[in-house]
Amino acid sequence: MNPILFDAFERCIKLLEADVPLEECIKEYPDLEPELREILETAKDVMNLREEQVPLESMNRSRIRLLSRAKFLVSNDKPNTSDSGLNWLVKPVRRIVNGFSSLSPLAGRLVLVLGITGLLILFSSGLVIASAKSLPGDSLYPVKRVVEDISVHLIPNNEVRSVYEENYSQQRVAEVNRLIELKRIQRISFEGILESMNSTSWMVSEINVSINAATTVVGGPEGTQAFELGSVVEVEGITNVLGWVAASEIHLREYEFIGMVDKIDAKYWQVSGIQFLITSGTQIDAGIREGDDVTVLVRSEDSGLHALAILHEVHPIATPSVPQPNLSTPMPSEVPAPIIEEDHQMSGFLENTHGNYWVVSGQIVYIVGKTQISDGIHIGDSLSVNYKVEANGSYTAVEIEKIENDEPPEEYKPEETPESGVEGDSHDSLIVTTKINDETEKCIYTPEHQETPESTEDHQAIP
Amino acid sequence: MSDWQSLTTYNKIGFHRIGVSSRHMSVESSEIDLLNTLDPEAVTAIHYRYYPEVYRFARFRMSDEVTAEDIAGDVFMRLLEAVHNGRGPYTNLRGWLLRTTANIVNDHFRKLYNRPKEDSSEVLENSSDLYLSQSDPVVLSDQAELNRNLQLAIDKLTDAQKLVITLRFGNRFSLEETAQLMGKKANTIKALQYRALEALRQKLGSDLL
Repeated sequence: MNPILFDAFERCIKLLEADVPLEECIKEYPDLEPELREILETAKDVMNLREEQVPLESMNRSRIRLLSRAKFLVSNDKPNTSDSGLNWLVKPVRRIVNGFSSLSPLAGRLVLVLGITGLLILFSSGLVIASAKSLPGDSLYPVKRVVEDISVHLIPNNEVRSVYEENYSQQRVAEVNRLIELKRIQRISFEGILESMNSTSWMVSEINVSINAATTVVGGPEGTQAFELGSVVEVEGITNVLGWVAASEIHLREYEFIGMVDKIDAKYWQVSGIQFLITSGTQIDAGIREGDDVTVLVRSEDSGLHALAILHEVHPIATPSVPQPNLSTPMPSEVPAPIIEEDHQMSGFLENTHGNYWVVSGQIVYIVGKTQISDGIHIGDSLSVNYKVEANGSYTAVEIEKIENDEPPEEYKPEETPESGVEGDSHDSLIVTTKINDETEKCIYTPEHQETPESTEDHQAIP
Repeated sequence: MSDWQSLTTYNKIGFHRIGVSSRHMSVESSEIDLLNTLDPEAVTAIHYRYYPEVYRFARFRMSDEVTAEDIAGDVFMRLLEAVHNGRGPYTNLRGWLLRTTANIVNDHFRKLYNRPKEDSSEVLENSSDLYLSQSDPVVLSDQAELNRNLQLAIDKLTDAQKLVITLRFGNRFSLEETAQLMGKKANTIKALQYRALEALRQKLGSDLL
């Protein structure tokens, strides 16, 4: 046993690993030269056996086999799992905390007292303090989350509660950053702002989130189209040693939903078939009734869809997705600017109907609950539309009537073979009547007007 | 008791006895907790993290890339089965994986040597078929020949010697990491690796060269 020789050998191994020539290593230990030289030459040969490169294809093949096997095992028999040794404590406490909201005021006070007492006990034991810096996966982390849940539920003021919730949300982001920094593999969940997105990775609150085929993306009623930069999203996934989060699920947390109010209840509103929970913090525009079109600012929670605000719907300006005629009809916006809140009337042919709007001679007219529509209207019918102009320039139909006579609207001269498309589709003609101070002004627009839209003088006024 | 057996015992005792930090233990414990769910993301993350180490271990001992790949893949399949049957690692996932790799490599060599032969002296010649195919462009090179002889010589060392050489030179683990994985002190590893190389040199000189 020669500890000096072993130390010298270890030192030389490190030098050889650092590409220092063997002779230089040996020079440091002239007395041990004979023993070291032979053994180090063998060591060098052994080092040459090493393969630094791991074939990527080999790794991928192995991973696929492994995942396939894991799926098979899970589908056959799912083993018992536990996130933490404290689950026996955490789960019942969370259940109690979640039940707070359904208690009566008296019972609420009792629970409040008990909760404070419980908190004091926890504080006195030092458990809460010790758990403050814990991270997901640590034994004390569930304690930290329970304390957060209790403190949020015990705050009576909605605004203060929101501040607390926001702070805790930021803590989740900080925890994920810390886990990534420590190169820990851990299941996590956090909420953040969507800052950038492409097909393989999204940036959420400065955390790189990888997306793959297995990632479930939940985007509310509109699906994944609803995701926009700046949206609030919740990411569930696993941190990895490479510094990003592999997402298993991404939820759109807050989004806008437009629909018609079906039902109004004290605790929930039903809009276009979807129920939204109402709380004391929900901001609701005055005067909204069943049948009205509304915009709901929705927050998706585990307990359901919460309405943060319900506002009178202001229709968007005509969307590009609506098919336009080959020679698009001059828009009413091209006439002298209509005065908001005044009655307007136009005549035209019904080209198409959609969920909440119709296309009348190329013009989009929104249909709301209050819109009166006469019976027996079909595509191609000539219509008389009473409408109002919204603040954003879109049209909302007040009344739609079918023009019963067989004659087409004035100035309408149907082509015998419209399919030929010669000289354009004549049904693009649109008659717009604006009532101002009980005086009626009627304008007829034809495709020729479209060619020179800037020349408003070409509008033919009909007395 | 072999070194891998002692590693098993030491796993059950825990890391603190040999000074592994509680944070390290916590990381591996959380990995094992996730693995117990057999969640695809968790399985992928663990595979991604440990496959290179397992593959390098197998590849160091096997000249044949394909066999090394088979062995590495087999290790992870065994991990899944063990976890599913409740016999998976408790605290030391890396140790479990490398121990299993070593066992499979040893089994591979054992089967090779136990294969019925008309003449036992042909073992070496037959075994070479597994390492390098005749179509391999480097089959005749001196380096390939030396590597093959080295790998056969390593297999003739004791379990502890094979292990220390593979961990230190195949996987490039530090003295301390090797000591942790083998449940020994760093000074013991220094002596063990020296003797392992000395034994290897002698075997290369007497048996093969």
